[in-house]
Amino acid sequence: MKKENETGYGLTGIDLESLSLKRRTFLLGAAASAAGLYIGSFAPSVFAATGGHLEILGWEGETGEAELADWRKQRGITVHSSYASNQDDITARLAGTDPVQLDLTMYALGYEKIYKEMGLLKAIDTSKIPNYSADNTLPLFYKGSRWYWDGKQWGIPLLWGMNTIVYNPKKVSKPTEYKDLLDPKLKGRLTFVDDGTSNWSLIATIGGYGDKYPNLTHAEFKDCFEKLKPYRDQCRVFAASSGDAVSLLVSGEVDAVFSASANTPSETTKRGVTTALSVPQEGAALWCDALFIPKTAKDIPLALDFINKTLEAETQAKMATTMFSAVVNPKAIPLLSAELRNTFDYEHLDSFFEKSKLYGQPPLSSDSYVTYAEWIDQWANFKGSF
Amino acid sequence: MTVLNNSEPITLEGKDSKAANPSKIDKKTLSGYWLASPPLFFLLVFFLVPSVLLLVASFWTAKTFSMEPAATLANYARALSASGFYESLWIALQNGFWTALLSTVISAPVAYYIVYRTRSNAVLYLALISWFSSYLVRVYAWRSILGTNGVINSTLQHFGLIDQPLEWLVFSKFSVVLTLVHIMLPFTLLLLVSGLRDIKRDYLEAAADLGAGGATILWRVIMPMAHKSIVSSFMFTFVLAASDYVTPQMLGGRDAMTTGLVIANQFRSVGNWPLGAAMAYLLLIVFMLVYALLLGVLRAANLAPGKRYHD
Repeated sequence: MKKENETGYGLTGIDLESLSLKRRTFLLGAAASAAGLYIGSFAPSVFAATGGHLEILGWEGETGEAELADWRKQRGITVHSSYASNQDDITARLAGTDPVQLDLTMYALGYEKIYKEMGLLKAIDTSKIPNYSADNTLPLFYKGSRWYWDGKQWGIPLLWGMNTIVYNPKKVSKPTEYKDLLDPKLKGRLTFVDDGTSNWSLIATIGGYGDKYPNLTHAEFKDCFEKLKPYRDQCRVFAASSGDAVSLLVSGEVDAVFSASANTPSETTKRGVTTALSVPQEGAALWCDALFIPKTAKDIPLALDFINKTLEAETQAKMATTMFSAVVNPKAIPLLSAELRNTFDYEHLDSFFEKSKLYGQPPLSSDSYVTYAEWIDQWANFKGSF
Repeated sequence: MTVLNNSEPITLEGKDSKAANPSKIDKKTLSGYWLASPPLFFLLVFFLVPSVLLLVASFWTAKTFSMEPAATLANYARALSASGFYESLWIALQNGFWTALLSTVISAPVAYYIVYRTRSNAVLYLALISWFSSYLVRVYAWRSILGTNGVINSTLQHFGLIDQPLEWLVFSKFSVVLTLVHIMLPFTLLLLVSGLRDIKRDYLEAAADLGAGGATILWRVIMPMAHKSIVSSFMFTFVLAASDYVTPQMLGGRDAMTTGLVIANQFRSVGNWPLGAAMAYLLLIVFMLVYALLLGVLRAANLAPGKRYHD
């Protein structure tokens, strides 16, 4: 080793030119570094306070993919989201002897009774969801009978919306009642979206049994579909889905949809065709999606945390904008666009809900009333004109 | 065969060896079994077993999306007593028949050209190009072409050939069959080409030498010898087209409810798998009857002699 004054490296006193790294030393050093890195990966990150993983099945746009990305990253949470195309997808995954493992999923309004009967729901500890409170929730959605029964909470309303008449204002004048859809000008220009559950309440309403739905007797049920026949005669095609209804409106194959999602006009506008919503005097078909914890859930505390996060005003506003739907947290309303606020008439919600009710689903089994399966069959017969 | 010479008898391998020792399986046969075993295994596990399970399920009952073991004919009785089942079945059979017939008839001359008139496979590849696009893309494409404001109507109106759009072009049986033919044609073409390639040109030339004209060669030589590929291309297309419910739903209009959709509803929406299974097996029986009818017609026309003409 050279003397300090000979090396020129000053204070260190180490002559780098004379240092030799033996093979054994190198290997030992490398092994130590690798071991340190490996062991260090188990140490909790300063930013990942909880971590965890959630399996979620829900509607696309309501699983918080974009809205909760920062929160997930901050907390080190991984989420695997799958999307359902309809409620039956969710039912099929949870029913039977070998249900799919899910931590969080959703039910559309009316399915709570079906799922209660099937034993798919776990009670929710709302003390772990501070955002679900009377102050942070519109009265209709706070501990209503669709989500709260037997003294327990089973579902948490997330977003709500409506399906109503959508029409092309350049081709037809605004329908103010469903009978306006029987206008001869609409012959062959009307369509139904093939989504029975969003049409059934309106079918009952048109039949004059709106107050009785979903519990109709067989005679009332038959009468409803008799009265629906003229509407079928106005149709040339049934839209396979909401997206197909948009496609039919844009291509000019139809000028009105019996009942379509409230975001239909915004979708047709993107494609260069202006359409508009009309809530007739009989009311619209309301939907409300609620989060619930299924029987196969593993990480329930994290699921509750996730639910709490979705109910924050900012998250609600973002989700509602994505879905073109309505919020359950009133503090989110000022964060919405004017178009959204006007569509759902937040200033007159009481009268809105008076006209357009939150209906349930027909019973799975009943001796007195028409069952869910019978509605499905009859809807298929109606479409096929059988 | 045993060859005798001045030395020891020599026994040749092959059929004679098999005849001498029938229990010994030769290598060629054994290798055939090995080659066939993977697809056979796949069919057994992923087709036969599930089909049997579905058949068993058709005799069960369902309650709230769960199946309950039983031994009942109630599902079959319910399907057979529903007028909607027959009406949707009739629509499905019509779609299947017209699609299969048109696909086979259109494919036949093209297959003849590919096999006997050209050495190039260019035409075959052109026909197969449509497979590069997805099923739904093709359905929507036809909707755009045939639509009220689609390519055809717009063009005809532009040239003053029509005043109003031809509404029957779309959301009708015509649009369903046209689209299904477009989708199924490559299948029928491949099967017919495969069948015709087994018919040696020598037979056609021999028939021509004996004074047979084109129509006679077609009717008396080609069709009998290719009858198996004709039957398979027709039935393959028929079954697929009759079972299809997406194209009828998208292009069939208001009156296009097929059995496929009725069955799908039982599985997807109602959760009544036993009833759906029963309907599926009833549909299978109908398809088998159609197959038997087709064979009967071909035999009556002397086009299905039941002989094997080639190795």
